[in-house]
Amino acid sequence: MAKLVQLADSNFLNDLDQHLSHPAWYAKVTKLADQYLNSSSVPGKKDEQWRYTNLKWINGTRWTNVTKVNSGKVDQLLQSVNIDQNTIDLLCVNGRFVNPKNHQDVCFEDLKDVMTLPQDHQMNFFDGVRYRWLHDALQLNFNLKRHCHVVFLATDPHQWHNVILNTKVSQAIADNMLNISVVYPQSTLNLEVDTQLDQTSELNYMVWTAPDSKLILRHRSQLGKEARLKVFLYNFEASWVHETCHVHVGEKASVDMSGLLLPCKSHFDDKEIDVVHDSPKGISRQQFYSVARDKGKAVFHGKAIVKATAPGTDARQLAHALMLSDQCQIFSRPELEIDIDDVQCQHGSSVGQIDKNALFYLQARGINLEDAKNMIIKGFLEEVIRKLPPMWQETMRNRVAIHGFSAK
Amino acid sequence: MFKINNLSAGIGGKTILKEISLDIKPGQVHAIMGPNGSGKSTMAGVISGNDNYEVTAGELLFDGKDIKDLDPEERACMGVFLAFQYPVSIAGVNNMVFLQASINSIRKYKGLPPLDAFDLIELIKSKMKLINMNPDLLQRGLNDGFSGGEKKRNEILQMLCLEPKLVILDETDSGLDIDAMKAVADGVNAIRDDQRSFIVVTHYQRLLDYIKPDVVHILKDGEIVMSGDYKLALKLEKEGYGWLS
Repeated sequence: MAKLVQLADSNFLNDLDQHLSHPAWYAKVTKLADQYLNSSSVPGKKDEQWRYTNLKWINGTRWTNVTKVNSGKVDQLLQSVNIDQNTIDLLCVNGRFVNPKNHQDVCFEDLKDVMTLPQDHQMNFFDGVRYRWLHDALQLNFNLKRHCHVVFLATDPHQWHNVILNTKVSQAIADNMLNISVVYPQSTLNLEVDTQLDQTSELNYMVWTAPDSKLILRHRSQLGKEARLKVFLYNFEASWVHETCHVHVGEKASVDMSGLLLPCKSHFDDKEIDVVHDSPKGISRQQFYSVARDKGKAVFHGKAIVKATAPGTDARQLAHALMLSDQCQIFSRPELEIDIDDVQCQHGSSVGQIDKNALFYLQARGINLEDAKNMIIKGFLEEVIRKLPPMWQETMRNRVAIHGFSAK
Repeated sequence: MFKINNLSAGIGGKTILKEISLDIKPGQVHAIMGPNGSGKSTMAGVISGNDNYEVTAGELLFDGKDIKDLDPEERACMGVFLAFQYPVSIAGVNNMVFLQASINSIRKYKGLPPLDAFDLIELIKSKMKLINMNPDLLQRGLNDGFSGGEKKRNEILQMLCLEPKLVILDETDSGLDIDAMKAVADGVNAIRDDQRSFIVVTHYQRLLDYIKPDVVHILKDGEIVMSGDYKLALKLEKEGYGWLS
């Protein structure tokens, strides 16, 4: 904590390059993630979670570290994932929080329309932010007035996000945060995420990868009573993705997980989801839609486990997939494991081609075949895009269009 | 205007339509009636270009041009419109966006500029009034969660907006209550003129009370076995098809 205070007190606003380089404590965090990955056993085909994964490249991967980013690089990063900087409240570049408009250090004035904070806490706020989102909980009494969009730009290959929302002292610390991590193009990211939501707190969490990047993500979440978590897994531009999410749902808590898997070329996208209900009246939703092209491969393995200690649970899974080529592959496995009667659980899965009747219907109205296909695919994806917070939906539609699904 | 010459067609190697011929003049309404499985919907599908069906012989002459090898979208752009018996639901495709794409696609074919959003809304809303259709349905997914009556009204709305030359109504009256059937008929009658022709496929004479046909054909086992005027529909309503054998 002492180091953090020292960091905030120093004046690092003048030299932008210096400002955007790693702070010392951040290097420690990335090292932890690196060590964690290296201490894990090398996955093999016998591991259920890696069963369908192409593992050849992992052993030979060089984890290249991009240590410095300048102001232009930040713009380039944001453009590469099609994020409108005007929608960002806080931008974190390799551990430093900067103003998204001028890339200078953030000050409380920049955020006055977002949150209220008692005067005596303002000086320590950004320490708190760093500490809270990247290390451990800090108990500050502030309230968000609206959604606060925080974007993490990561150029270091190893990242560890520890998001803790604590309501024991403050009242509703974060009403809805959208936490986005952006991965540097053509890089490989090893991302460890731990989220702990205490009573009634809420978090929206998303990771966006840039084109042709690779991602290994391990997300662990613990939801307290009546906490609400939304996780958006939309890493469809990446060439290789393996995401595992493990969520413990507390009493009357809810988790809503959704994602798009759109592998093309020889890309691979694997989602392994475990939701454990071990307290009463929890709610969980898993909704993952895939569209595979070329030699793309998509894997969805969703599991909802309802323990005997979780009566009144409401758990649902939905996985739909479209196959657009002869050589693409889809593996879909929704599972329910239920130890108690007093629950509502559903799961559904479908894999197929574009409905010929739907195509004919659109063609019979004068719409040509290619546009008709794109319209149906976009409609299919729209079912999931609608789950995003409204202000991000258009951005996502643009990304989907750039990825190759645009109806004229 | 539209001529079918010795048309034979089928599905999966099985012949369903056997050397059918029809001559539909501009402004005429032809009703096609017949028992289940006689080939009525096959005929509608073949005319509109559904590639589930295979045309094995004959011609489909639309304004003098044989359209049997054209894609469905080209036929639609030329002015062929099929009102589906079972309109397809496509979740996620907004009804308004779909209508815009359809209208502007056909306008492009005709060399007309696309309608802008304001003109488009004005056009669609004016047509909706004609058939007493709920404007909220425009913002929903295409036929997604629509009732049977709403789907059929949506078909008629599309017909009104696209102003085709040849309209095929494939059992549009099936599953409709009396008010909905009247609304559908009002829509059809609103665009009847001496240039536009209709093929009305139906099981029941009631729809023909509202849309008066010039000619009634009876299709049985893939062949047109009898043609007549409106009185033929009345006879079928009274006596069924048994007397034909």
